[in-house]
Amino acid sequence: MDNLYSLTAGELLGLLDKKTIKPEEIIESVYSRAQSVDKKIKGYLNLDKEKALARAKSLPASGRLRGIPVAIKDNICVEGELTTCASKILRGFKPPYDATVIGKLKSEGAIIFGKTNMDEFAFGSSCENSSYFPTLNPWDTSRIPGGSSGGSAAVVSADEAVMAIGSDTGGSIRQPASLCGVVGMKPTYGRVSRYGLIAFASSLDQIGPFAKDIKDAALLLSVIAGFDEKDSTSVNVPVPDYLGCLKNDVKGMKIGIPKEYFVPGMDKEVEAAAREAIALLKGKGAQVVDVSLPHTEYAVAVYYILATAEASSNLARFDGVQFGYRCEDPANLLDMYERTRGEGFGAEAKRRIILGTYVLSSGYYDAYYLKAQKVRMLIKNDFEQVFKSGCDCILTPTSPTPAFKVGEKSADPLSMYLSDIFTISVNLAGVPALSMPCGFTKSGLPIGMQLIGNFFEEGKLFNAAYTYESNTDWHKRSPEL
Amino acid sequence: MEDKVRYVARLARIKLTDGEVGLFSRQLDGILGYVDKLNRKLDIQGKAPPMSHPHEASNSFRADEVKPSLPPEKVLANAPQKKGDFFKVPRIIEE
Repeated sequence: MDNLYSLTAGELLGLLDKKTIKPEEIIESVYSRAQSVDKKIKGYLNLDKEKALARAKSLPASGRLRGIPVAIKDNICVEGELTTCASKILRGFKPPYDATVIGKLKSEGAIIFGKTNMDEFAFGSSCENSSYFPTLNPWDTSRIPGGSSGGSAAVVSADEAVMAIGSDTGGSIRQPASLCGVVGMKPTYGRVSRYGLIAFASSLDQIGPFAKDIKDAALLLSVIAGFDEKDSTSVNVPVPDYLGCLKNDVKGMKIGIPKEYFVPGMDKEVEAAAREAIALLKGKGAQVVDVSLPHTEYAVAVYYILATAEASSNLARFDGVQFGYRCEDPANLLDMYERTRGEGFGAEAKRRIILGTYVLSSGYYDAYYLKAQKVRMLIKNDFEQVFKSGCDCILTPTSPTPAFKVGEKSADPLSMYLSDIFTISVNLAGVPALSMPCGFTKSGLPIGMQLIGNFFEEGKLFNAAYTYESNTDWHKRSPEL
Repeated sequence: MEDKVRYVARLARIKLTDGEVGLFSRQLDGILGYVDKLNRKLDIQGKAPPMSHPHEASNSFRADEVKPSLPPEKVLANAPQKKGDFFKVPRIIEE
């Protein structure tokens, strides 16, 4: 059968069920697609067909993803497979164990299919901070795919993977999903185990799915979600039947539109696409109300204090002792630490460690770190107020602009940080949000919208998103490659 | 700012080149100027307690049971240098 690579997991599972195809055929098809297009996209850091085929030979007898190839962001540990966070300091690192999400995927029959490129340690919004090479946007290879999970978004968009796993600390799943025209979700903090995810900012990080449509995203989340005793921040709340939430019906659903996300000067095409999506959902019976998230303007400042502070502490473990890179001929222990880290980390990682160490240092802690923690509470309270007022979800654009040009923001870290203004608050609050395609610019670049929900109400997001998707066909478009 | 960057880099155990010190000093000036809006524009005396985590934080305990751990050879497989069942590092105590 031709073009298996272009199908969704849902479609492939149907064919597998009817025994029309075998898992090996899916792997062959997706792999040869990757062979032909990844030269242009560079979404994969590692992709090994023989390993994937070997896995297909030892699948469990049944499983919700049996035979489906899933690409994995390079900051998630897969036993025995290179896992480098796209950083030189982890060059050659092969984890001795599987992350919990990898174990869950394997036990449901998914085929771990390659490791995807990312900004080093998930520090970035463009995939340009990979220490290996940048990934490019399948819709326009002069543009960035977004980040930090740019590789995962790009390989799903380019049909080089059926689904993918990413991580989202300030928008790192949703922003690249938006810029590459696919679905991506950051679940509620604590919904998915972080065990085996190489930590960036532990109070913000969350693993989530990339998919070609809402049904696949719901399926993938149902597989990876759930309490894990190995992650003390995972929450023991039952995982609902997300596929059962896929109803083409939003009658009576109350959708909040925050005025702080629709501001003068924003990209006109992005604004128009989001407003049309609102109108469509209203036409399907949703109640649309204006709401306010008054502390939105402080989110980027709060985030870059807290996230870098946490990162500076988390990245202390990369010291050249137990794994990864060590400098040549260290004179003594201190020299080994300083040169290993100076040579092993890329520029953005160093910048963030320096900033994070600074805001935690004596004399600055109260003015920066403690203050940011307090404002974080105000940002969380904003969301709680909106949901308390009866809103089922909040709709915004995912990114203030479509994909920008390679190199456009790489010299100015602050302008890069500001490209996350619509996604960061969600991580600070801890609530779930997804991004899905809602249009294209005149020049053919995808535009994404974001649906934000209350804690553990991913199901409502899938319901609203499925309704929108069932009445549009943006998700059916593919880039020409 | 350059002195601060050198001092913080020492705390963080990162050796920076002079070029990096200059570049990061300029960039951090800009970033700190931006994040300082929290202090310039927002008076939150007493309005909010600090938040360190999205959920009400509490200790998470598990039963204290002996379970298998990774074998030494697997743990040491990624070591830059090893000797026997140990990670090898430069001398820590100077003679």
